[in-house]
Amino acid sequence: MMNKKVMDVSGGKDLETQRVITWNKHKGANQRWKIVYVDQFKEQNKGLIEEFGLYANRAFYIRSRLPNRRVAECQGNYDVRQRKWRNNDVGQQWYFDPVQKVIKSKKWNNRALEVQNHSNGLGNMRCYTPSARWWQQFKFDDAKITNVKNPTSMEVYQNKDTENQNIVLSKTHGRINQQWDIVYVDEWKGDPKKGELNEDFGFYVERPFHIVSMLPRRRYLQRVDPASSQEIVIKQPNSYKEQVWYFDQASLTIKCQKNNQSLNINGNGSSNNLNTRGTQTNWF
Amino acid sequence: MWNKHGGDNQKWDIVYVDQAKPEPTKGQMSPKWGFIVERPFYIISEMKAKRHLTSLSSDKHAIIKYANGNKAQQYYFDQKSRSIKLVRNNKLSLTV
Repeated sequence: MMNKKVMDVSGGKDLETQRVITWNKHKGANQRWKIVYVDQFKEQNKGLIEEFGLYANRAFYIRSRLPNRRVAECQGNYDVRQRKWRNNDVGQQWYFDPVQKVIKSKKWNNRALEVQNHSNGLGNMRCYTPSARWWQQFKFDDAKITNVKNPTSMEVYQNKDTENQNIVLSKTHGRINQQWDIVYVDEWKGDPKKGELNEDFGFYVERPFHIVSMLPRRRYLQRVDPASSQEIVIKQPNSYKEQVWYFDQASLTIKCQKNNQSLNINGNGSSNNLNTRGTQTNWF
Repeated sequence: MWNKHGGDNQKWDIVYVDQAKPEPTKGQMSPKWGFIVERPFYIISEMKAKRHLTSLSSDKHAIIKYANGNKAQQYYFDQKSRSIKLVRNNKLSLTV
């Protein structure tokens, strides 16, 4: 330039949408540029895109680490909500587009994951027409799906692990409702079947077990008469079904063989007492 | 007119019209400016994330963004004006 100034990324900050200004030449990285002609530019279109933590053009599920391990689903009305995994449902599958740097729906490739609010970038997530703007660009890093511009991350709204709960973008805090696994469809084995280990929960599916206290007498956990104020107790081993439990894959709960009810924290999780109740598949 | 001091700003070449080199045209290198004329290019930052210079219609300032294939990240050299123009709008040049 005639005034000896050069193009300079303001403040030397390598951030999305950082402003470019002119500044006295000092040859720092923020003043160095490469000219690449469009017809010679090659975009990485397979393998891991390290900057975004996602593989290019490879279908995946976005699976919450909340207990029920629901997955993010793109719905017909553009909403993005968490739902139970369903086999071969492409509405629950996503892929990373390495050109636009957006996460697209496998079901609708003209829709990308975005935060609906384009001003402050907080609020409901939806799947919408790809524009490659910052409100549609996210990285997967350290179990969080984080916006490229703002310190905000995708989370299950209000930490409610319920079916069809909406997914929002909130300030990053890293708690469990902001934690996700990216599970590639070609590596997904499906839900474990009877006799197989559920690695997330650490139980074999529908394989009966006792829950044994580590106190010296090694008593077994037992369900007793619900009329009793103390419904779950420890007792000497006996042959009753009240001492036999199993992990139920459908509800992801521990059930008692006696009545097939689920081990449950009383009062919807507000009490210290345990009991067995009809299955609700809630966190308690 | 000024008193003679021999500086560059007082030196001139006389180029006869029949000997003058023609201006480079589309697809040819403009040696003085270092660009191929009217061939679209990206301007890529050498910082770690290799973001592309981007000129959005919604923002009068140039910014850096991840490459996204949009025209807002493409520029070309215009020999006539000796300026770098925006592919998304050929009436606009990069300017200070």
